Amino acid sequence: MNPILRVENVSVRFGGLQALGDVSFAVANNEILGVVGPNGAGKSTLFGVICGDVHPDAGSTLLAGKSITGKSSDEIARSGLVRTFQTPRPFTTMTFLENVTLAALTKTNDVAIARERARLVLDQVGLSDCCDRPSSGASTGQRKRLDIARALGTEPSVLLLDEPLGGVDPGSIADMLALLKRIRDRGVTLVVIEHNLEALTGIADRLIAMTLGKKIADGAPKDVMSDDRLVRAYLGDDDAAA
Amino acid sequence: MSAPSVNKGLTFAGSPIKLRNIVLFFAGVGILYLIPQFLDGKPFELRLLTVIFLYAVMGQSWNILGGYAGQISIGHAMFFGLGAYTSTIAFLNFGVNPWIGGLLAVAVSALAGVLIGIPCFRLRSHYFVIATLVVAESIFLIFSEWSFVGAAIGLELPIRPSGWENFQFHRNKIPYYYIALTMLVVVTIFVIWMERSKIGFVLKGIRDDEDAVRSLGFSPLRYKLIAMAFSAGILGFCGTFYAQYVLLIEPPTVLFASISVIVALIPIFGGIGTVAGPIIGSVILLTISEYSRVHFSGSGRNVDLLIYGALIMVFAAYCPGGVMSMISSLRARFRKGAV
Ligand SMILES: Nc1ncnc2c1ncn2[C@@H]1O[C@H](COP(=O)(O)OP(=O)(O)OP(=O)(O)O)[C@@H](O)[C@H]1O
Ligand SMILES: [Mg+2]
Repeated sequence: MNPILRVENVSVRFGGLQALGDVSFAVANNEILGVVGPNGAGKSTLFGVICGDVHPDAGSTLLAGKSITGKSSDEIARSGLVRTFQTPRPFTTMTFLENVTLAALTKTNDVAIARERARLVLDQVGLSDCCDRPSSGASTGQRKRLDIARALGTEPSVLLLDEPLGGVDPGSIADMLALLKRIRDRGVTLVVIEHNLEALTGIADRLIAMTLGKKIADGAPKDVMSDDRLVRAYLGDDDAAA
Repeated sequence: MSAPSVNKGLTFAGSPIKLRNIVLFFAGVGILYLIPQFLDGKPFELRLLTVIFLYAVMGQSWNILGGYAGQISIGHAMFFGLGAYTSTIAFLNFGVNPWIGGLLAVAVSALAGVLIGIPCFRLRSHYFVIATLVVAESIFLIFSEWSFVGAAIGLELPIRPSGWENFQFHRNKIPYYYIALTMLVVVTIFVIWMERSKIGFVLKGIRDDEDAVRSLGFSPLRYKLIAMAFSAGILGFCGTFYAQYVLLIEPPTVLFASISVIVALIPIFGGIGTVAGPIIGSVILLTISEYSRVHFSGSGRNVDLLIYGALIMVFAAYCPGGVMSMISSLRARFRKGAV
């Protein structure tokens, strides 16, 4: 395996809380890696560390073989690794199109070119009807898609999605999964945090499971799903971390 | 699926622009250039329009940082004052022509803005506001004590013959009107360009959600510093204009907190984060202030502040987006009614 992203022995403490304890894993180029685990397992914190929003107390992160540990989050984004937030954060005074145009402006100084690119991306995520609507009026599902569109607007090589199905109505989940697959088919590597295990298993090449800041399983989806440590973690059994 | 749109019409800075708006803009500007022909023997009106243009420019420059980037400063008097002092000192001590002095003022104010911005932009929301106030007050106090810059007495510009080369006009003040109007036209076109350009997009993004902008790969600090440099630099030239207009600068007239307040109030009242806002705000607030100065003679200065206070309270309650948002909601209502 030739990993595009590597996380090595990362630990994070928030005061007395060990949010991440010695977490290591690698993501292969063009893979879809799922990250699962109960609330408070440290999944979003892990994304924060990779993206440079959270400074780890120990450990390192590497993108395409180069260390990105301690770099600022905008610098990391410019090198091709972009995240979405668990709670979508549209630029609320802008339209859908302007939101994505801003993202596309990371790659060009020409607003006309960025706007055309933004139209294409909004079309890809199924939001072409919303271009000129203010993003403040978006539904949760639209916000999730807009967040993804915005990240895609920067033409990332690695995309970290924090619960892309959260709040998406059940009828749209299949669409969303198809979208994630299409993104991967365009050459983007995806790391996806998701509580909808069934949906995630359908598209992920591999899963890692976390609980209480520790990685407890890593492997093919069906193996991880049947791992009794994960089952116990979701049931809240304290032995799970041991 | 929408067909890819092809822009056949006029564009400016990568975005479509309506021919009608361009025509209206330049027709308006043309009329403003003709007005002085009719102001012979009307020094009050001439002065009123000149200061309206000057304060509209100052409002535009505050709006770049406060309205577009969302970084509210109540210390902008310092950039105005630094500009006024820069060109004046350059002239008094080194004989530098005031036009060149004005360019120096732009450079000094912009540089001061960047140097002040580097530490202050680390602070968020109200802490930033307080920091700008504290820095501006410190500069006011330093200049009030510092003998090199005339301390509390200030600096007087020696009278030179009227003329464009001296940036001084005595009996006929119409050239000041033209200079102020030209500043307003240039700065307004600049702001329209900026609003539509990449910088404008990033600044508006920072105003909405700074962390989200950073997560896409932009450095918010870098763009805030750019906005600060534009904002402070323009105010620096306004300071030079004021010094040449009044020929006397002292800390209370060019560095005092009330200037910081009015420069922020103008765009907030007219419509924060809009191009027309600072112009509308300046027309209304400066008209109030100039007329109250005349009608209430000596105490006029305080009366205009009372009126501002009342207006701000009314607007904060009924129309927090300022005059511009009132206009657009009236328009929307009118359109609905027409259908
Ligand atoms: N900035 C912070 N300061 C203090 N504690 C934090 C901070 N961020 C997260 N935590 C704590 O760290 C732990 C891990 O949080 P994290 O958000 O990473 O979990 P998660 O796996 O994403 O959970 P969820 O599925 O609910 O999103 C939680 O106990 C959380 O309360
Ligand atoms: Mg989370």
